[in-house]
Amino acid sequence: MIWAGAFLFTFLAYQLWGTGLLTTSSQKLAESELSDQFAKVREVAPEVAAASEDVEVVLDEDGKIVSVVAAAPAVDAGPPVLTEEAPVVEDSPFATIRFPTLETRTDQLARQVGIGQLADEGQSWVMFEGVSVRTLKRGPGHMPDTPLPGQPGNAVVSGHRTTYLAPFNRLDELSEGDPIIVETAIGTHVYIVRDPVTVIPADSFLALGEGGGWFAVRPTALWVTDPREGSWLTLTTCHPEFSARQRLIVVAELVSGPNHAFIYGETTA
Amino acid sequence: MKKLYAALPGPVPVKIILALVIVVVALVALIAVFELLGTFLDDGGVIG
Repeated sequence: MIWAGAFLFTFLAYQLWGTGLLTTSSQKLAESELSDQFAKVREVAPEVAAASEDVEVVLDEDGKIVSVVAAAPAVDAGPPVLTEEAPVVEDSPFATIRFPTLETRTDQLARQVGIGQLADEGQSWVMFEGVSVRTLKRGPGHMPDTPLPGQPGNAVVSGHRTTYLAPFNRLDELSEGDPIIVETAIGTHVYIVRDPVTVIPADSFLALGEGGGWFAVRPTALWVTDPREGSWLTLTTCHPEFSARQRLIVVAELVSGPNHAFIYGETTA
Repeated sequence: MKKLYAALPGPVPVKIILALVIVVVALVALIAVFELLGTFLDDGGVIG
């Protein structure tokens, strides 16, 4: 009985904290690698540098988007800045992802308990190319057969919910209208969480999340990765928490970024 | 534990090396089991 208890305790400690050590070191290494990679791409491709101006997303007290300031310049009537300038390699870092709404809520909670602001710089996760077991231990992974974030179509990104620092642990707190910010070598792409009911037939869900920001499907629901008109980001993780029985899905649409004007046929970003 | 150590063959230096090898192998095996069981908790959320 004592041995069984010790085994269970060690197992849980390893899963909940031990696995995070590997992810922490991988993320730190990847951050500097990514920063070098971005600088290199923007140096050799001036058109990428021109399109990669910083975007500031202004949020209200509840973490809802108010406006996008200093949006990247529109690519009027020209081709989108494609990935040829910024090739991605299997298992390599290529982008970062942030959830400003979740950061705002964390800050509010921190202030309430009197420990000040926690997410001063914003918690961003380095994303890697590929969804192998090894890759996902390092951070969120992009499904290789889908377009990259910021490109036309449906970019699919998966991440752990409970172990390996649990980058997608709080996806169930997202609701319609919440921003998701992805930074790639070609610039900052701002996505907005959409109500799944407006995007996908309601009879496809196993369950619809409270707040209307997510839905659950079986792990084999490959239709989630199907191409879509416009530019979309689909995030997938395990559901319910502490179980791999289902998948929790968040769908978000591009509202600003270097390729937005081209993809949506507008004259301004 | 003491009984297990005493049961190891050879002089003290050999016993220590054997004990270390056994501990390392046991740890690797334990982590492998943890990793396998961990996929039931969270397999990364991949579709397909």
